[in-house]
Amino acid sequence: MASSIQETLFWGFAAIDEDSMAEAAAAVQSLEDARWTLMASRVEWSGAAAHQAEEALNELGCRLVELRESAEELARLLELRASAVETAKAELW
Amino acid sequence: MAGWYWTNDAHTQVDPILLAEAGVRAGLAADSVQQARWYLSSVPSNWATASTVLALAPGRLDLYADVRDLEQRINESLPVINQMLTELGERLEDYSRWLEMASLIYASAEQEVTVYQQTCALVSRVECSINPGNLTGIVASVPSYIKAMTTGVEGVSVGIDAQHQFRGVFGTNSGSAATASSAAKLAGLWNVAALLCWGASSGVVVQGPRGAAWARLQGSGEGKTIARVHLSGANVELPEGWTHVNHPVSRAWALSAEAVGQDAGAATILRTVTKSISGAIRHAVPLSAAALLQELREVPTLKQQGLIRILRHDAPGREPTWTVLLRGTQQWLPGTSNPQDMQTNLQEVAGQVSDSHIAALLAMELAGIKPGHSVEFVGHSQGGAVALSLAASEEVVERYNVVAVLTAGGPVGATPKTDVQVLALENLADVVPALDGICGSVADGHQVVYFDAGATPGLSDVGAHSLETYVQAAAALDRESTQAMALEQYAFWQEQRVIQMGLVTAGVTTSSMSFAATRVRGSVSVPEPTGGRSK
Repeated sequence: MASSIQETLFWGFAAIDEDSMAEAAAAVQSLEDARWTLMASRVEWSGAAAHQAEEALNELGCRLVELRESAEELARLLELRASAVETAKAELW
Repeated sequence: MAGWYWTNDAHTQVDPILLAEAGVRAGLAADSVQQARWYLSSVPSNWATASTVLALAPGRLDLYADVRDLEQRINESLPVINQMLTELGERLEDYSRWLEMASLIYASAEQEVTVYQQTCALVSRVECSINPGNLTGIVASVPSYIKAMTTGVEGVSVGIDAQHQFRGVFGTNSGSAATASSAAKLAGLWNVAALLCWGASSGVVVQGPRGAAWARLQGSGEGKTIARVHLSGANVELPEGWTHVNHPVSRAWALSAEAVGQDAGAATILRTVTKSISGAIRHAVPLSAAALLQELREVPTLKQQGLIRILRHDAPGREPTWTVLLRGTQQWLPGTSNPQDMQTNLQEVAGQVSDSHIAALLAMELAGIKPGHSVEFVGHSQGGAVALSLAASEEVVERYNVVAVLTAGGPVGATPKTDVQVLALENLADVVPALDGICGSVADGHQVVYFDAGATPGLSDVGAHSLETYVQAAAALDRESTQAMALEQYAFWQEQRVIQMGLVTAGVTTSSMSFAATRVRGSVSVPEPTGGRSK
């Protein structure tokens, strides 16, 4: 059986988890916004410089997708952790 | 992102306004990434408290292990994501700035070419009411205008722009036909000014170590050789059409002095020049574009005469091959004795046969280049335009095997197209290649490499149009071309050139000969040809 101190500590975690999950979700949204904004900057042009710009744009877009997926993974880990803590609380009390 | 060079996989066309808007959007995307970074900065970076607390619960290690594992993974991923966010934010900002700069480049290039063309149009309108006094003044103002664009002289607004803002002449296609038409009119005016000042042109005399030749334009615009004077003495069997002389050197000078239409003073000048005309001098075999431009850089410049240097490459068991080196503009005033002048610039942009073009043909003949021999042309600025016009000339193509052309900072876009492999180098800050009003040399097989000398560490800031800038850029491109996919065509040009010129043959040697070209004026009496008859 857990002590009352542990119970008090666990209640404090809930607020931290909630805030962190919200921040991570906001970060994911910002990265998605960044990707859409970047893709909207695509310009119809031709030539060597255009080719380079297109390559750079595509690479930046791919990096943004990777980054958003990493941020989503972080948000998922935070959520899993919060869920695991909740499970522990339920088991202990 | 981009290095410091671009190549012409296609004709670049873009709306500068759209490009500027794209730059703003990329900047907004960078802001969003920055916002994401700020959000994640609020997430605690060290997650161990819950597992620590759980460790105090005896007998429930399963709960402890789950939470501890998740907290460790969160702790590992957070710094990685933060690092990625930082890097991507910086790259997006770079990309945004690149787009905005490119927008300025294109807008500026369009504007500058427009200004140039307006100037041409202005001068061509004046032609309707020719007044010799005004004409001289107007025409005389053009070289300073163009020089200003290349050197950034204070007080000439377009010059300041050219030096500091004119970052890209590529991507502009303001109409080569309009520019050529204006240049043709301007060339006519220039000729009139020369006529008023110095009298009618009688052609070009070229002197080399083994002889002299003289040619002038025919009505069709093609050059016609009028006389050839051999300097080798009486024991040489002369080819048909050549003039035999008993005292070759003095007679050659006499011919030239007579051709100039002046007295012994002109002969004195020619004698001085003749001393500087070299016989065969050994050189290192130029295996790269940079080596070719270094050879071109070593060609002396003269005010009164245009020097043309020809390299001869010999290898055991095969015919010699040849490199014709053509320097840029040496004189800006109309009607000078140096054919490497403004008159030639205007004629080349107008698509006409110039005196420099004819002089190069004569020099090739005097050098001993035989029909069928392999030849390449290398030129800077005006020399680039002449090089490409020679390579595109039917007379040259029918007589010689032209294998390659290298131009540096030349207005070559309006030149008639040729099947020859052409490599054109253009500094984005150099306005001269834009003076033809067209983007680069866009024919198939023509490889244009644009570079930004101002933004490239290691390239000295010696002047946007300076040959030295092009020499250094070519050296850097040589180094890059072994690795960069974008320079595949550049490397291909180099490879094809050395093969076709036979420069990879064992035992190949290179020597040079120099030729002095003089534009002559006034009437000339020509000795009768004696070649083909006797010694």
